Amino acid sequence: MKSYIIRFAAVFALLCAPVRAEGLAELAGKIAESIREQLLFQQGTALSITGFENYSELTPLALQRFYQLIASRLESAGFDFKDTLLDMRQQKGVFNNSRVHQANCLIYLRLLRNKERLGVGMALFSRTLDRILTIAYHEALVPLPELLTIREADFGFRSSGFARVFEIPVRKGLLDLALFDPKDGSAAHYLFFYADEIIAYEQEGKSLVPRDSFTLSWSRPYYPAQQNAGRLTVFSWNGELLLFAGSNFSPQSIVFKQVDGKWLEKTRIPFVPFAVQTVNQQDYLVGAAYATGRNYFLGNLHFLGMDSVDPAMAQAYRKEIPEFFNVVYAGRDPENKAWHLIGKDCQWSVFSADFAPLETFNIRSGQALDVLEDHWLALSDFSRKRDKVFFYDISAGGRRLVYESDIDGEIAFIRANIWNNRPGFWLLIEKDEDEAFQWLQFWSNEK
Amino acid sequence: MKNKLFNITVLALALINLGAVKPRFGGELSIRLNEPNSFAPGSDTYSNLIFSSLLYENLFYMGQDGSILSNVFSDCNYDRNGMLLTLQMKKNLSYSNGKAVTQKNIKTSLKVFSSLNLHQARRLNRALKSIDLQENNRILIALNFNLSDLFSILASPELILVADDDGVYSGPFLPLEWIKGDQMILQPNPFYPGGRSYLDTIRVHFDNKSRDLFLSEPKLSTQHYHEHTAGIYQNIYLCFPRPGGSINTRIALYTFLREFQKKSNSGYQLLDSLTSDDESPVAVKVEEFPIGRVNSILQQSNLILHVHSSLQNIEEKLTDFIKNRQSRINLVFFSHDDYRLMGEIDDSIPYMLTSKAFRRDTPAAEKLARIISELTFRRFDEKYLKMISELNEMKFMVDEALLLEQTARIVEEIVRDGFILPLFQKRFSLYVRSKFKDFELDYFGRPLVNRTHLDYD
Repeated sequence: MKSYIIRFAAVFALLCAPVRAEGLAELAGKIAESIREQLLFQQGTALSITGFENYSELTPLALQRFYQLIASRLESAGFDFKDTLLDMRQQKGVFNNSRVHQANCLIYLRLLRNKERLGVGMALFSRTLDRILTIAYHEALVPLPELLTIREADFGFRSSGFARVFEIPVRKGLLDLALFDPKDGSAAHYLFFYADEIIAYEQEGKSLVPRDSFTLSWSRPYYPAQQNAGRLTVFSWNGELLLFAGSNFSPQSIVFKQVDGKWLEKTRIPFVPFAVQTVNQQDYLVGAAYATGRNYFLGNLHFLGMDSVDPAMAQAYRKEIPEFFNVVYAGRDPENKAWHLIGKDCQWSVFSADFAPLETFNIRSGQALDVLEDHWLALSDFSRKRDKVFFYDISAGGRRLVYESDIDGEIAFIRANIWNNRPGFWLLIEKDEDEAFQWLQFWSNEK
Repeated sequence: MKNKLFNITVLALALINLGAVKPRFGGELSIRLNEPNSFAPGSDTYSNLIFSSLLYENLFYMGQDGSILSNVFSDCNYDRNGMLLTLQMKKNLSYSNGKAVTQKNIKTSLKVFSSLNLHQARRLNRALKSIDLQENNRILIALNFNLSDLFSILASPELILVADDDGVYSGPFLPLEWIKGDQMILQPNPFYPGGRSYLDTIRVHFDNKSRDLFLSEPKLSTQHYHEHTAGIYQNIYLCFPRPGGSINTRIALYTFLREFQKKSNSGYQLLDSLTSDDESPVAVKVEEFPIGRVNSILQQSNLILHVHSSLQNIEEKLTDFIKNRQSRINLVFFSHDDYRLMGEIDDSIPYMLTSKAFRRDTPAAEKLARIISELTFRRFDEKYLKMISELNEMKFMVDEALLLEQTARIVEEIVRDGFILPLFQKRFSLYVRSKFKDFELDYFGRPLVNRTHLDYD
C-alpha cells in the first residue's frame, strides 16, 4: 500500500511541479557547462563519453536517461557528440570502442551518492594534446519524488513504446511473410509462405482476405525437417519484380518473376536470399544456406551479383561467419551500419560491414530477429517456456533497450513490415501446441 | 456411406512437438543396449525392438494413448463398408541414400510384413485382398473382411518401410561405425520422413555402464535420470520344436535352467505362467527334479541347446554354469537376420531357448495368440488354428468370468501339449538422463529419439 502512495505522490508531484531544471537535468547542465567553458570557441569539436561508472543508487535505465541528457546538452552547446554507449552492465557503461577514434575529446563520468545529493565527477581528455584538460565535480539534490519519477517516467515510456496493434489467427505452418506492393495502382498483397504454397492476402479493413495462391514444387533432394523454416523476400530489380522462397527442407530456393500479374518460376539458387545490398556500386543478392533439415544457417554469407540471378548463374562470392539463426545488416548512418547476428549459440553479436567482430552481448537471446527502418531491432527471448519480445534502438550504432513485453506463447519469427501504412513488426506466435492455428501479431510504436 | 474410422494428417507425429519452436540441434545421446547380430530388424527382445526403431521407419506408430500416427502418409482413411483402406503418401519421401520411396516400396513393405510368421502379420495376410497403386501417390488396399483392429495391426513394430537395397535405411538414424563388442555410432538420417533428429550422434554401448539412456528393472534409485515405465516385459521360454523325445531330459533341462536363474544375477525373475504371473489365470507348475538327478541326466545326454542370439548376453554366465555343473550341454546360438525368416524354426531342433517381448497392457488373449502363432512352429494343425480363432473371438467378450475361464482352458491345453515351458521374465523401465528433453515413448515402449534434444534452458 505504501508503495502505491509513494508512486501516486510522485506522479502527482510531477504533474504539479513547475517546469524547471532539477536534479539530474541540473547536473547534466553543469557538466555540459564545464565542458563548454573548457572548450570555448571550439564548437564543433567531436566529443564522446568513453567512461561511465555508477556508484549511486540510480538504475541502469535512469543512467541511460542521464547519459541522454548530457548528450543533448552537449549537442545544444554546438558540439559534435558521438554516441558510443552500447549498454550499462554491472554499473559500468559498455562502449563501442571501434568509434573512439572519431572523437577529439573523451569524457569520463562517475556518479556518486552523497547523502541526499547526487554527485558527478567528470574528466575531459584531449586525444589531440594527449592530456587531461579539466576535472570537475558537481552535486545536486535529487529529491526522492524525482528519483521515483525517473522510474515512473521510464515505465511510462515503455508503455507508450511498442504495442500490439493487430492480431489474427493463421493456418499453422506459416514460414514467413512479405509485403508485395506492385506500385501500379493495384492493391498490395501480403504473401504468406507455407511449405507447399504461397497465398496472397489483401487487406480489407481489419482483416486479410485470400486473393490468390500458387503451389510450390520442391525438387529432390528434399530434407524433411521437424520444424520447417523459410524466408520469403520480394523486391524489384531492373524493372523486374522478383520473389525468392527458400527453406530448410530444400537446398534450392525458388526464384519467381512477376509476369502479367502471375508469379512464374524463373530459376533456382543454392541459398536463401535475405536482401539486396549494394557493394562497390554493384547490387548483390545476400543470403545463406540453411543447414538442411535444421533451423539454423550455415556459416557462409553468399553474395550473388544481381546480374547473375538467372539459370547460367555465376558463382556467388562467400564470406565466412559463424553459424547463425538470423542476421540483419542495419544502422542509420553508413558508419553505424553493422551486421547483427544471432549465432547458433543464441548469442547476439555485432560485426562491422566488413565482418570484423565488434561486440558480443553477454545475454542468451532467442532465434527471431529483425530490424525496422535501420532504427528498431526486435528480438525474441531465449526461454522456451515464457517468451518475450525486446525492442532496441540501434540507430546510433549501439543498442538501447526501449521496450520489452511478455508474449503469451512462443515467437516463431519476427518480420519488419507495414500494416495500415504503419511500420512495425509481424510476430508469429505459437500459443498452444494443440491449436490448429498460430497467431500473427503486428507490433508498432506509431500511434 | 463412407465410414471414416481414422483420418490422420501430415502433421500427425509432429503435432506432439509443435509447441516447441526453439529446440537446438547438437549433442550426443549414449544408449546402453545388447549388441545386435546385424543391422537386420528384430523385435524379439526389448533391446532389439529399440535398436530396430533407430534404423527402420514404421509405416504407422501407435502413441502411448493408442492414437495412430504416421510419418509416411499424409492422409489415411478406412471405409468400413467398402472394406477399403486409402493411403496418401507424403511427397518427396526418401531413403537414407536419397533414393525416392515409391508406392511400390510401400506395397513391398506390406507384403513382406504379411508374409512374416507373426500373429498380427498372418491376420493381415488373410484379410488382404489387393493393393492397388494409383496416381498422385495414392494406395488403395482392399480387404476380404473387416479387421476391427486394422490400425493396431498396421502399427506393429515389424511393419517397417523396407528398401530395395542392402545398407539403406528408412529410420531416424543410420550406422556410421560399429566397433564389435564395444559400441556403435549412429548418425541422423538427413532424409528421415519424420524430420531430422536434433541430435548429432547416438552412441550405442554394449556394456553395463550407466548411459544417457538405458534399460533396467523398474524403480531403480538413480539421480539425474527420469524413469519411463516402458510397460514392456520380456519372457524367456524353453521350447521343444521336435515332437517326441525324452520327457526326463526336458524336465532336467528345465530344472537346470531354473537353477541357473536362481544362482545367477541376470535381472530375470522366475516365470510360472505363459504370459505373466500377475495376470494369468493358470499357473504352470512343472515338476522339478532333485539336483542330483538333473546332473546325472545332463552329464550323460550330450544335448544341443539352440539359443536365440537375442539372449547372447547370458552366454558367458550360462557357459560358466554349465562348466561348473560338468553338464554336457552345447550351446548353439542362432539368429534370424530377417523378419522373413522369423518363426521359421526347423522342427528338427529338440531344445530351444527363445524370448518374446510383450507390452504389459496387451490383453492376455492376444499375448497367448502370439505365443501360439509364433512359437508353435510348424504345428499348425486344426487344433491350434481353432485355438487362435477362439482367442481372437475373446476380444469381444464382455463377461470377465467367461473370459478368464476360456483363457485358462487354452493355457491348460498348451501346457499339457508340453512344447513350451515358461522360464524367466524381465520387466523394464527406461531411464533417461534428465538433461534430455521432449523424450517420449510409443505404445511399444520404443523411444522416439529423433525429437529428443539437449536442454539448454
